[in-house]
Amino acid sequence: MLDYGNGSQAAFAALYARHKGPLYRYVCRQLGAKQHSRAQELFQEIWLRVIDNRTHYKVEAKFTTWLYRIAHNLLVDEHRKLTARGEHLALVNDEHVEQGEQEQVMLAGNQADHENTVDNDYLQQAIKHCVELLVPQQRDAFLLRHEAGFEPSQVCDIVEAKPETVKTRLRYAMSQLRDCLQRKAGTAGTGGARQA
Amino acid sequence: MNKQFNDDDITQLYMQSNDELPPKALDDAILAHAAAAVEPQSSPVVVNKNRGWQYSGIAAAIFAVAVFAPWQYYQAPEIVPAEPVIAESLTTQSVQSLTMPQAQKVLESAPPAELMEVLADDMHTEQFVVTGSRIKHEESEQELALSETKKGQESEPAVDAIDELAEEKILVAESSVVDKPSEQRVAMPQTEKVLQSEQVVEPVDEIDDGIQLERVAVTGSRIAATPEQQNLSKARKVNAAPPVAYDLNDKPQSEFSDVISKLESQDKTSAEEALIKLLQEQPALHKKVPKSLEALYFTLLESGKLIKPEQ
Repeated sequence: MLDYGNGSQAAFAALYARHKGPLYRYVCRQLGAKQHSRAQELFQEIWLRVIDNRTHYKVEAKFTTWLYRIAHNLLVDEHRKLTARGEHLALVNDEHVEQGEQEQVMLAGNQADHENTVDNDYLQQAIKHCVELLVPQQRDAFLLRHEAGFEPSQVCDIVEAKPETVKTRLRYAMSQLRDCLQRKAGTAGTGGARQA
Repeated sequence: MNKQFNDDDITQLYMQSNDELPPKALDDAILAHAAAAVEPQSSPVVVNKNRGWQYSGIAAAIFAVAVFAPWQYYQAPEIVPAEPVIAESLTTQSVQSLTMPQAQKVLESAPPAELMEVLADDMHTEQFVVTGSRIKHEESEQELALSETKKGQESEPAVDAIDELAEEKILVAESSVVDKPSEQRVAMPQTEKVLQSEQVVEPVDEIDDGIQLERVAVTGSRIAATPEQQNLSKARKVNAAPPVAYDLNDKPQSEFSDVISKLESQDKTSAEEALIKLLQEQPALHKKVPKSLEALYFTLLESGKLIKPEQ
C-alpha cells in the first residue's frame, strides 16, 4: 500500500488481486443473495475509498485490517439504511420462506437417486442460507473469522468491540449455524421419508 | 439423518465451494480508477512555464522603476520659472550689498522697464512689517534712490517720495526696532548720504544670527541729493527744500516770526509795535495775519493803533 501511495500502479494491482475474493464474498454474504448488485456497488465503493485515501494510510495495522474496517463501516451504514426502511427483515423472511420451499422441492426430487451427492450439495446450500439467517453482528464476526481469516483479536480491532464480546458472538454464531444445519438436515430426512 | 455438526465441520462445510469472485468489468473499473488517480501526480510541468513568465515580468518591472524613477527626480529641479530667478538675484545682490557703482552697472545691463518692475516689487514686498518696531530701511531707501536716479528729470516726485519716507519714519519713530540681517548694513553709509535728515540711529540689540535691532528716530526731513548721486545722474536736479519753520498749525511764518517770537516771550508792547510796523510797511500782509496773532491784530484795530487799508 505504501508503494501504491508513492505512485506504483503494480502494487495496487497486487493488493487487489490478493484481497478481492474474500472481500467480495464478505460483502455479498453480509447483504444476502437478493442484494447482489448492491453488494457489487459497495465492493467498488470500498476500493475507491482505498484509492482516495492512499496518501493518508499509516502503518499502524495490517492493510487487511484497514481494508475490512472500511468495509465494516460501510456495511453498518447500509444495514442502518435497510433497517430504517423496514425492508431488511421482510427480505430475510421472504427469502427464508422462498428458499426453504425451493430446497424442500429440490431435496424431495433428488433424494432417492443421489443421496450422498445431494446431501453434500444440500449442506453447502444450507450453510450459506444459515449464515444469512444469523444476526448481523454474529454474521459479521463469523465472516471475519472464517471468510477473511482474521484472528479474534484482529476482529476486535475491526468491529471495535471487546474480545469477550467477539468471542460470544462467534460462539453464538456457531451454535446458531449448528442448530440451523441440524434442523435443515432433519427436515430434509423427514421430507424424504414422507415422500418415499 | 440425525447428523451432529461440530465447529470444524461447519467451518469446512462453509469453505467448500466458496469461490465467488467479482465480475471482470468491476475489476477493470477499479484498476482504471486506481491508475487514473496515480498518473496526474507524475507530470507537474505546466506550472513551471507560468512561473517563468512571472519571474521575467517582475524583473522587467523592477528594471523600469530603477531606471526611470531617478530620471524623474533628476529633472524636477530644472522646472523653475525664469522671472523669480532674476528678481531674486537683483534683490539679493543689488539691494543688499551693492554699492552705487555696482547698482549703476545693473541699471546699464538690465532693461529699464524690467528693473523698475523689480524694484517696485521689492519696495512693495520689503516695506515696514513690524509690530511696534520697524526694519531698518536701507533697502527701501537705496531702491528709492536708484529709482529716482533712473527717473532722471523727474526730480520733484523723487523728493516727494523721500519726504513721504521721512514722514513714515516720524510716524513710527516712537518705538521702532529694526529686524534686519547684518549683511544689509553695508549699504547704510550710502543711504545716510542720500537722506541727510536728522536721524538718530541707536543700536538696541544684536542677536546671534546677525539680526541687528536698532531704534530709529527722525526729527526732520532735510533731504539733499548727494554729490555722488548728482554726478551719477546729472539729469536729476533736486532743489533742497527751503529751511522754513513750521508753527504749531504748520503754516509759514517768515514775515510774522519776529512778532510771534516777541509775543511768546510775553513782550506784548514790543510785539504790538513790531506788528504795526510790519503791516504799515507791507499792507498786503493784512490778509495773511496768522491765527496766533489775530487777537493782537483785532485789538490794535479796535484801539485805533492800526488802521486796516481799504481795498
